Amino acid sequence: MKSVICLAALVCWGLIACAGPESTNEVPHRIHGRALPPSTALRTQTAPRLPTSPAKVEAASIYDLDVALRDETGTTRPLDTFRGHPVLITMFYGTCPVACPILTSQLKRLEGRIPEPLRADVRILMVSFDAARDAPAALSGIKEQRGLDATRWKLASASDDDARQLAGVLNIKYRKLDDGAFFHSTAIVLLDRQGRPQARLDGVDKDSSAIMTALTVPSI
Amino acid sequence: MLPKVGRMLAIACALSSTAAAAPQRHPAPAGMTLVGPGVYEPLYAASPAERTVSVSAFLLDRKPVTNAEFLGFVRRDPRWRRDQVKRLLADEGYLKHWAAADRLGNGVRAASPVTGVSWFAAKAFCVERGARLPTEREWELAALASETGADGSQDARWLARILSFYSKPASLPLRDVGTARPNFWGIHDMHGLIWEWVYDFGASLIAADSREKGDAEQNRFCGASGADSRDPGDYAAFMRVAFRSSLQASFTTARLGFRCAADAKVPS
Repeated sequence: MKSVICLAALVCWGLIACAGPESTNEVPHRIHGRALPPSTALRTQTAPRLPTSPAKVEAASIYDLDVALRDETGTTRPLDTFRGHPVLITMFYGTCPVACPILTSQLKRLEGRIPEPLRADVRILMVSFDAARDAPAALSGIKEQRGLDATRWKLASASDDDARQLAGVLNIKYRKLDDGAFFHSTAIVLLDRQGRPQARLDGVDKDSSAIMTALTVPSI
Repeated sequence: MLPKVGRMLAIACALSSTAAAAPQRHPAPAGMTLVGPGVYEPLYAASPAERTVSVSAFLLDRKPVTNAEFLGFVRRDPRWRRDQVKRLLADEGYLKHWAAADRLGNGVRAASPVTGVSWFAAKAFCVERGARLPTEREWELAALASETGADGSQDARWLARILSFYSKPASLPLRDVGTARPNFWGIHDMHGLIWEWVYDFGASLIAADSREKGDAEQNRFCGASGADSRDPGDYAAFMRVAFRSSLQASFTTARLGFRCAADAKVPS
C-alpha cells in the first residue's frame, strides 16, 4: 500500500511539474464512477452525421454564427471565409508550448494524407482564443515558422466573446488562467462546403479515420 | 426631410444627449446587487496556483430570469422565438414548454424561472440588458454564501440543506423566483430551484479530467492527496461541476435557466 502511495505521489509530482498550459485534455463528459444529476443534458456527444444518410436532419451550419475573424495579415474576415471548401477548423492559442504545436503537426499530417485533387480544395482554419497576444504578426510568424501553405491555411484570432461563441458551436471548452495561459480542450472539426460539421477529432494524436472517411464522401 | 435648422438642432440634441448619457454608460442593471469581492476555492484546481482564486466584486441578478422577462425579450427580438431561432444556437427543446412561440399559456407561471434556454439565448438576453452571463467563478462565489455569511462552506447545517435541495429534483412547474430567503449577498435561489448557465461553463474540469487513459485517475489521486482538491464533502459543488461539464452551448433542459451579471466598475 505504501509503495502504491509513493508511486502515486511521484506521478502526482510529475503531473504538477508538467501541469500547465500544455495540458491536452479533452472535454470531459462523465465523471468516473459518480452519480450525475438526472438531466436530459447529460448526453454523450452525438456521432457526426454523414451526408450519406439523407433521412437524418442535417447538422446546422456554423456559418450561421455572427463572429468576425482577424487573420494573420490583419484583415477582418467573416467566419465563412472558406465557404465553398471543405474546412478543417480548430481553436488554439499561439503561445501554447506543447498541445498547439502538436495540433498543428496533426493538421499537417491530416493534410498530407488527403488525396489530390481534394487536398488542393481543403482549407485549414486555426482560430486563436487569445486575441490579445495572437496579433497578426504573431500568427504570421507561426505560419512561417511551421511552413504552412499560405493558400490553404489561415490563422486568425477572434475577440474574447466571438471566440467563446465559436467554441460553443465547436464544443471546445477553454479557460484563461491568471498567468495568461489557457487550459483548453482540443478538437479538429471537419466542415462541409456549407459549414456543417461532418466529423470531429477530439484530443491530439488520435485516430483521424472518422475525418478521413468523412472527407471521402463525394458530397463533402 | 427636416429643414436645415431643424436638422442642425436634431444633431445638436443628439450630441448633447450622448454627452449627458456618457457618465452613466454602465448603470447597474435593475434587479442586480453587488457580490464580493471574495476568495473562492474551486472544487478542482487545475494547478496548485489555482487552489484559491480571487473574484473581483461584480453585480449579479438577485433572482433568476423569469418566463415573463424572457417572453418580453423574445417579443422584442424575434430571432429568439422558438420558431425562428437558428438550430445552431438552440436545440429542439428550446422554450418547448411555452404554449406558443410568443405566449406562455396557462400551464407556465410568469414569475417562475425561464428554463429550456440555450447558452446562446441566455447570453443574448443578458447582452440586450447591457449585462452578461456570470463567470463560473463569480457564480460559485455567490453560491458559497449561506443566509448569514459570505462563506457557508464551513457551516455543516447549511451544506446539508443545500445537499437536500440537490437530492430531490424540483417539482414541475417550478415555483416563482425570489420566494425563498436570500443569501448573505441578497441573492435568491442560488440553490434549490434550477441549474444555471454560466459564461464559461464546462471549463473547470478540463485539466482535472480527461478521457486520456490513466490521466484522470492520476489526477483524482492527486486530488485525494490534497494537492488539488477542495473539500470532497461538498457534493453539491461536485454535481454542479459535473452538470456544467456535460453541457453544450445549444443544449436546453427543463431545469436549466440563468441569471445575468455585470461588471461592478462604473466608468466615471
